[in-house]
Amino acid sequence: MIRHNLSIFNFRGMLKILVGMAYAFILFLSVCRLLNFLYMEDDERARIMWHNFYEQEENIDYICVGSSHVYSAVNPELLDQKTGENHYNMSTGGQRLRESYYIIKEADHRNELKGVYLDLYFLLSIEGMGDYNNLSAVSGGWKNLDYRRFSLDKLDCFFHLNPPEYYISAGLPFTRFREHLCDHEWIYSMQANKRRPEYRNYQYRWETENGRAEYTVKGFFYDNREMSDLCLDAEKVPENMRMAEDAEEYLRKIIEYCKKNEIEIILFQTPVYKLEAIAYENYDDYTAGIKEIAAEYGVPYYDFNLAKEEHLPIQDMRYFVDTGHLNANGAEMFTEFFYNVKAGVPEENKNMFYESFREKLQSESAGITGLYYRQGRTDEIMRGEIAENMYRMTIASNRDEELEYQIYLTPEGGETVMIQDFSDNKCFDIPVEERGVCRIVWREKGDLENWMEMEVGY
Amino acid sequence: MLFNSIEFIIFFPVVVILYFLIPKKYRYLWLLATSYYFYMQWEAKYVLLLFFSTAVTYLCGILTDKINRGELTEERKTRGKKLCIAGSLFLNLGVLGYFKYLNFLIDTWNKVTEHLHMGASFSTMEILLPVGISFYIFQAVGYTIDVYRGDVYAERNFLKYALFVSFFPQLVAGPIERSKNLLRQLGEPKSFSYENLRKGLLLMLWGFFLKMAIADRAAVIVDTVYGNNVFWSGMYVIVATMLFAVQIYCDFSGYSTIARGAALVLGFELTDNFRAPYYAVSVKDFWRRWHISLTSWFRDYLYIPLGGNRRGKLKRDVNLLVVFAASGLWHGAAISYILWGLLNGVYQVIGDFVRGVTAKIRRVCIAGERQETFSDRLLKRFATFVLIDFAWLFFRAGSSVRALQLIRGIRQMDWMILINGSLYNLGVPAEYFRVLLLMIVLLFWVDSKKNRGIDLVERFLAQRWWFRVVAELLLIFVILLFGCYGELYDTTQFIYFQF
Repeated sequence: MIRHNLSIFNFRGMLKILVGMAYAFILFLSVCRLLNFLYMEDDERARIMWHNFYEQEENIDYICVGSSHVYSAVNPELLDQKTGENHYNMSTGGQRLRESYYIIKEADHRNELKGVYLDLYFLLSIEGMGDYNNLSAVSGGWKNLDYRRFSLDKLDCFFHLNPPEYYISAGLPFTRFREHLCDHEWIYSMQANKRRPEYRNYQYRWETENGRAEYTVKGFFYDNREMSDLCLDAEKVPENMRMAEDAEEYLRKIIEYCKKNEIEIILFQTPVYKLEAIAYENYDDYTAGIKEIAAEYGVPYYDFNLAKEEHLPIQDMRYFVDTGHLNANGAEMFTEFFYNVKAGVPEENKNMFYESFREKLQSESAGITGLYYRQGRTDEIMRGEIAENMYRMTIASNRDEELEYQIYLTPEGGETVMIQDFSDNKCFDIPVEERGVCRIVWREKGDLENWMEMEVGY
Repeated sequence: MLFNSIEFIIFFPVVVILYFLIPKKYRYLWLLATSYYFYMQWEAKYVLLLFFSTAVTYLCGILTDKINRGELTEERKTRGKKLCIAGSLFLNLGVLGYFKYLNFLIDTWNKVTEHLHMGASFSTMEILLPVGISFYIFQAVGYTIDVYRGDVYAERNFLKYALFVSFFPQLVAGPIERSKNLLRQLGEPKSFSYENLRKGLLLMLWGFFLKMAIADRAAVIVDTVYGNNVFWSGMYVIVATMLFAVQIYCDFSGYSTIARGAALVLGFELTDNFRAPYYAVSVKDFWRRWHISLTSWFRDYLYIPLGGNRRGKLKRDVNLLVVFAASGLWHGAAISYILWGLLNGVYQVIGDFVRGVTAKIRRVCIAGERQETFSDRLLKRFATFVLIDFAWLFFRAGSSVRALQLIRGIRQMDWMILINGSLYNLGVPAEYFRVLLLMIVLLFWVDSKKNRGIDLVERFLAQRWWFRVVAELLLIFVILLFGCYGELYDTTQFIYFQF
């Protein structure tokens, strides 16, 4: 039965509809908030970073954007002290260039931004990882949506960070955790976490016997632990190190945006522990590609992995938490050097860097840094080069041919076995489930008297 | 563009708002443009087929009408009209045959010649089946037959007629509308109606619930079992086949309900395609309740022209089998679909025979008529469900060989899996499985009301606003929490799109 018809221009009727819809919408949002509160697991660092960003009373002059190894490396407070300007580190874990672009826009729209320091961490920009077409890339971006205040920019970011099939998960965070719907333990742990005073006061800190970590008010992550592991999982190493199409597109967008809005931009590569750069075997291809783009736009690019040891003596385990992240001491040293480079004359700065990573390795005395491992790719397994369920271990050496290695393995609970006498072969395979200690003895080819050795847990 | 996609959630409000803002005179043009846009989202070039079918049937209708009104002898009129209808059927069914059945024919031919060692084989062609082709071609052909019979006048306005064939809510999966219903409505100017909006949105919400929360969730279990019938056999196949009955019902009726709701928001009433089909007390009854628009199409345009039940029992049974074999073939170009159709036909032939025999026995043994009891109906419904579900096995298996493999596998029964938690290993965790069962109970409760002729939508809309809002939000949150969507699932297409 049709009780009443309303013309589209019947304003009273329309008002009734709109009020009804508003009620329903408010109720919907309230239930969503409740469900978010019950089920949503926060990315605490991103939550604090965004909260503190909106709470900044002074204008933010410079921002630093990038992934987790940037929030571990650049201390804005040190830069503030040196420059007298307000710096803020807007890096978040796994941040890709697409996210960085929208973060820069948000920062610029809410501040009179003078400069952007953009990190181009190779692991998140190379083909595969840098492509914005998989769940891990898309869901990685949600942390930079969840805590942003509502604005048209946020909507713009929402539609550009998510393909349509992800809209619901991106817009309604509780739906990401719906597999925990009847999981009382999950709900209880979420509640316990959210009731902590630290959580409510936007603080993130912890302490273990190995050290202490704290997220500071300006987006810097202080961590004073020291690196101990020299065996790197290199599963994500691609066959080539070209920048992904999506990453390049957004890098260009960022540069163009900054140029258009007269914002200074510095491209850089935060230093990683040498082992990681060696593991990404064609590292120089990646850095050469960025140099070309930087030259095309006339913007500076500093790859701090190419910094000369006398200027940045950071390649020491005492300055890293792990191969990708600097610790507090490393961050202090790096921020200082970053400031010097930024304050220096670009032409003179060139003298502080090598042209390529290969050149840097050649300038050092021959030696090894550790081990890296990965499972065989499908084609390698098909060709029988690497057996299934085996790790291909590779010695991270700064020489291709000049050294020879003797390798001993001591599996957990087993006896030490020499698996290779002196030979220039750097690779060997072990079963994926095996754990133990690997002792590598190396010497220059033909030098029978001088040798060195290293023990690496695997 | 799928109904359960974000694109549609954006597309539909834009269409509706602009539709009611445009002057009434031009609204059908807006709907036509949006309908073609909607169709082009799948494969833009196939819109030419839609246009071709529309143009052919339109011209055929106009010509038939002219012949009807012309000053010709009856004999020449009949001959001319027959020529027109034959042309329309030839061209439309030719297109359908090429896109849907050519590879099936080539494949069958190759198998036969291989079996007979004749060696005259052809290679199959790479043909992508245009989505919804069987639906719109049947709707267009139905129109030409109606004009031929003089049941309706030919539509003069080509664009209005094009909208009748392409109306987006029912374009790709029906209901197959009759010109008497939809074309007439398209000719009438529609005003915005709040009542239609409320009712339409409620229907759409219920449709989304059926599709996303029940059909797609059940599909996970069904796909797991049917995807590996060597590993999953016996009781698993029975459970999966029962769930497939629920899946296909919720999938198809979900689509039809969304289509009805979307059309109603725009002011059009589409045919209700389902009337509580699993409450049917016989297979014949089931087909009066399932995919009503297709069943009535076959009844009016094939069964009755073949002679229906007017020429004796044997001829009636043959007609029935022909119609159901054709219905199977309409669903898909595979032997298993024909077997599925024939099986449904055979059920009815046997059912008629058994009914006749039991009626005679009753007349002889029991004096007077006995009142049908609840237990009688329950038993009949159960038996009907078992028969229909057995036929669904052929439908879902995809090939007759696989169907027979599955049937052979059923013999290894392990009843314990129903209680020992093994069913939770079929891709749906325990909590979700239990919620799925609860939702199926809700579905059958709603259908029981429908079966008794109660209009739940009207009853629901008569409730207080707070109750409606809470219930609607509850349904939305059930979809959000238990529905299949997003990154963890492939957006499952509606099963009937492939037909």
